[in-house]
Amino acid sequence: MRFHYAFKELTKRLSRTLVSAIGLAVGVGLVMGIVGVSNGLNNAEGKDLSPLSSVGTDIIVTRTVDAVTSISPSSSTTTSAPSQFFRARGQLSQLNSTDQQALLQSNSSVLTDLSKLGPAGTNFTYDFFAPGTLITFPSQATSVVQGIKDVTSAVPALSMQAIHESGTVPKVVDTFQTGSQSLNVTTAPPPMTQAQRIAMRACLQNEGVGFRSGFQSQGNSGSNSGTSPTSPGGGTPTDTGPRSGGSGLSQAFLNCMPASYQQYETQVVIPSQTITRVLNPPSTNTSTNTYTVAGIDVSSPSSGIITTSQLTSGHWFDSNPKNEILVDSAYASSNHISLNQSLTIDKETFKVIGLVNPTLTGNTADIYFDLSTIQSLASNSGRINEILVKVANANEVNQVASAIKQQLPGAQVLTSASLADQVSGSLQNAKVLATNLGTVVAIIVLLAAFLIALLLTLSNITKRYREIGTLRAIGWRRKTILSQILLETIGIGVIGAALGVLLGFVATDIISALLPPLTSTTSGLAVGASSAGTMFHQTTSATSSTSVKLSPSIGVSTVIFGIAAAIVGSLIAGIFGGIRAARLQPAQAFRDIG
Amino acid sequence: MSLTESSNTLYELKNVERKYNFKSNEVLAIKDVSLEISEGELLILEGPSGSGKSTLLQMLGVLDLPTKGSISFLGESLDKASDKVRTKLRSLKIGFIFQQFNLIPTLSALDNVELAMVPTKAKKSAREARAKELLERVGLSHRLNHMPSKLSGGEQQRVAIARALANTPQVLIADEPTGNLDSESSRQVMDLLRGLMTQSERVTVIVATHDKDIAKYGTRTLKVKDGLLV
Repeated sequence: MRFHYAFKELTKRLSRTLVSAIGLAVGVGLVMGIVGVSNGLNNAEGKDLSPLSSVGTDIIVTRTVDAVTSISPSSSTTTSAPSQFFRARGQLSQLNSTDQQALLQSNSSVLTDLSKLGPAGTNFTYDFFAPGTLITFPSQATSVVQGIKDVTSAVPALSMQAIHESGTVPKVVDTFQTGSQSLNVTTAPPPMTQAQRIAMRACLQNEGVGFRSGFQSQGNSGSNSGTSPTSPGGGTPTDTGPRSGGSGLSQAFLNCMPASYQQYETQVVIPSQTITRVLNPPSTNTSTNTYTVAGIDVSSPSSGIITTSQLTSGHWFDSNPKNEILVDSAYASSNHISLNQSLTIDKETFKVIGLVNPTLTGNTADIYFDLSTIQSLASNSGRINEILVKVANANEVNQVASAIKQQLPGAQVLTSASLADQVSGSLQNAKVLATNLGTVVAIIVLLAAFLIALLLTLSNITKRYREIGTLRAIGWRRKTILSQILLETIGIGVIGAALGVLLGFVATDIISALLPPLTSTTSGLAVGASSAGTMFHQTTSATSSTSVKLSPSIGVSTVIFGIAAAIVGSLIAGIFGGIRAARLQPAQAFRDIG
Repeated sequence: MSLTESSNTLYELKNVERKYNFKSNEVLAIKDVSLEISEGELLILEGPSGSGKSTLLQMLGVLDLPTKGSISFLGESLDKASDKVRTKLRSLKIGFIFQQFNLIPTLSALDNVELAMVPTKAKKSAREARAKELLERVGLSHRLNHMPSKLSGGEQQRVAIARALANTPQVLIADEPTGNLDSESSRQVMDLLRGLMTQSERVTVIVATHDKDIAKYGTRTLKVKDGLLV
């Protein structure tokens, strides 16, 4: 009877019931929405923070230029073979000679002098590969890691940034020749000096040329020498000149003229010279696209930076993987690349054998090759820049990480825990916001909903004084009244819970639709960028930003929480309202109605 | 307290006084009333509004206790009766009829009558059978599932009478039972109440009214004025 009574109360006073239920539902729905968003953020963050475990990897071993402090003496003096690859850390100048050579070699494939691609006007398509900040190291390091206790597997990888360039070889230089011309120069010589005259006369006298006395007065200088040359033959070449006979005189003159007079009619030849001038800027239509590539150990399909579990279509590498590639499905979609399509990369043709959905945030690539293929393409034979390590027991991760650092000084060892400290960006901000402000808002909203339910119940009790007084008068006990009110409010709570859950789903859908994508920035595990990136005006950064589309999720626990919140709210309202109703004196109610 | 009858005297009131405190004012609603009521009476308490008859009725209905004096019901003193005991007395021994019927508006006529049997923990089938029997007795067998709002004033009051009789009470307390009824309905209700006392149950009926015409139905009429029986 009492259930029937409660049911009739709820259904016959539907508007009142709905107002109370909606009050609770709004509170529950909003709280569920907040919880849903918070769950979505947690999931997104979890996806972000647990990239290693998502691919069956516990530790990533890399080596970056920037991730360094100082070189410890013990490290630098380690004599084991791997330490030679990892000994030095930090700036290039701190690297040992092997590393310096390797780093330069690794990034040297990037060609900046386009003229080397062919004569100007030649169309070209070229792919350059550079490891950027992830310095390569000999692949033997993998076996060193493999030898560490509790390491289940160690898989090598080579992640690189690729720069795809196409266009026309520009005219970058201008070459021209100068010189080889012959020049005739004629000019009046300057008058002889006194010293030259004396020297010349002395010379002529030595040659046997005689001088008359008038010779002295014919000088152009106006000076008085006191003597004149006399030709030995008695002839007079000029009226006033020295006397000498025939060709012997001419020869004497030639011999005795000052050196500057003797060279006046020399032919000048300008030396031939080729001048090459750099044109600045070169005129070019070169277009540049960057993408990331990774070489993987195709014989380890279940561990590494990409695994078979991440294949969304197609298949894994077969026994001859040389011309096969896997492509990130998002990259494929944005670049209109389809399965089984052939792509030309660095003048070689590769077949897209599968599309993948990589989850290793901060360390994904657009295209995955067989390790040896990318080593060959990037001229990095025998070198890798990542080792993905799987540990036997999760509890041993830190211990193994320490062992790797000890065995490979200079290595950057990344675990899930260390990655968590490196995640930032709007996702983290939203997470903090949802955790702090969201919790406060959720509590306030829920309390407000409870208060509304309580006030509506108390208001309802006040309106039902006569009814409750009558029940008390006809023999209903206080606890019966209390439980009757509770039954009714629980009924309202159930309706509120149903509406609230519905509203919660709608709220999360709306939030999901309205919320802009968040970014998650993971530092310390960036591939590419650095030197090559700088050359092509890209940001040099050891961080990786991922756009995270938030998907608020309402799980079973959230639904149960929503229902429980509505029921608790209705119980609180029912208890307070019921107590108030039960305390009602039947006589007082009688008077009110009398 | 035993609920068994020990004599023909149903109520015994001695120097009963009921005082109310309204803010800082004291109002003496009942002043030194002494009264005996026997089984089978149809007692009319007649008086104008505010005379104290409703207060007296509430004390007879064990809804309220006197601030002074004593009341015994069925030979037992109510002076120190707990709320639980008084509630049980009301559910088993006393039926109430109100001026405004006080039916639960969300329940049908049948449900309203059944509602009075909830404290007895009777089975659903027994409750329903008893409710139907009583509604038939008050001439409403064709209105069992009607909601109060679909019934006339006289019909509603008859449903209220059926509810009051649900647990076979020994006393019916009626406060202005015809106050909201037309003369025809009033007559029907009073005939019904008078019939109850003459039938086998021999229910004692106490009616408070300001209507002098109702007084003619009573076996005894007491006039109440300014909290005193006159």
